[in-house]
Amino acid sequence: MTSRVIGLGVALTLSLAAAAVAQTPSSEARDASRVYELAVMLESVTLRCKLIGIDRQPKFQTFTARQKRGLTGAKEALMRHFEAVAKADMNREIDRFYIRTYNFYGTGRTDQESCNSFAELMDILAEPDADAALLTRVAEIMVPDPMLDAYP
Amino acid sequence: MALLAGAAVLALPAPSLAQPAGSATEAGGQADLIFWQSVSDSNDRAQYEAYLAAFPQGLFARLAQAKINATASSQSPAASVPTPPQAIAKAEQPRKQVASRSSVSPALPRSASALPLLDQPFVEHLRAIAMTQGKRYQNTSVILPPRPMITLVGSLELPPQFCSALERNAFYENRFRPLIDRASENNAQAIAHMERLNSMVKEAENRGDSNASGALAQESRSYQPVAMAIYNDRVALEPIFTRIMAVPVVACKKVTP
Repeated sequence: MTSRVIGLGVALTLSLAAAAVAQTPSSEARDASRVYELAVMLESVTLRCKLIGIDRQPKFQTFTARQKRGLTGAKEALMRHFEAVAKADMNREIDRFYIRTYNFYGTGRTDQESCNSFAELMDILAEPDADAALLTRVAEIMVPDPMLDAYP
Repeated sequence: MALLAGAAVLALPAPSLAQPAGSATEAGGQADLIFWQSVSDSNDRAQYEAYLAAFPQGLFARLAQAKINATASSQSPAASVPTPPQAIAKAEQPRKQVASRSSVSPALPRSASALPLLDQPFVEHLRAIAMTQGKRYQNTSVILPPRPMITLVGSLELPPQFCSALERNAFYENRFRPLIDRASENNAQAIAHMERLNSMVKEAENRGDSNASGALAQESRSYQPVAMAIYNDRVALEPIFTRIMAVPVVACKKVTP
């Protein structure tokens, strides 16, 4: 009997946590999701391109170095979002979100033309005057519907 | 998977920037002080500019301005870097907005109006390549047809004169004609690609596949500027025929190699 009560309590806690996470994300969190997804997209396509012999890894590294501030800001904004909506489950929820994002972007077109297109984009985003505003704008175009909208 | 995981954490992240400028509340004053403490030991001009952007009337605004002035001469101005992405709109005002925000923008700019304007063809290109990645690509029940391989047309320099009509004819056949053929072939391929895309859009619409029709329509819009450039290359060759015919034919000595 006791275990049933505990089981019910756990289930109730989990459903409440899920309901909390389902809150509408703020515009800051949505922007952050877009930027994070763009970075994952670029990382995934870079890895897949490398697998077919087109190594654009140095360009990706230059991009992340140049856009460190914007990428860090995105991660922080996502953490604030999950902290607000998931509270004690924040770490678990944010990990789920990261894994889900990587799973989503793990696939995609991988050929010479595609690899070149993304390499050019990384070059543009790594330009000395490419700031977080440009990163946000590109992410807004490329990720019109952030995954955070449909989370969990 | 390590992306972003090891990234440094800013001393005071963007939320403080969202509060009304010059807020005189106690909380605002504390934020002002905390922010200032987090940047006051830095030599990074951008951090002081970020402070000023957040607290233009703050307690340390004058000090921040003094720090900026002091670092102005020692740091190379970002605006002088001659490497604007080709895709960013050339319009003067948007570029100025981008340049002025680049040093003061928070980690993630909030206001869409503050974001840089991009050329429409570049925007379409970004949308099109984004559609090729992730499960969006899997969900698209059509694979976009590959763009045709375009042969470089090349340029043609006319001689000051021809030694004979025969030489002029040979120039036409061997130098000019291949260019025309290449440009025409490029143009034909571009038109065929556009026609194929348009026909695939219609097919996708007919079967109610909005994912596919959207992706194909996007690719069609994205390819239009390319097709137009190819067409223009072909058209630009037309007047050259007249110019070849206008080159004087004069009797001249044959140069033996």
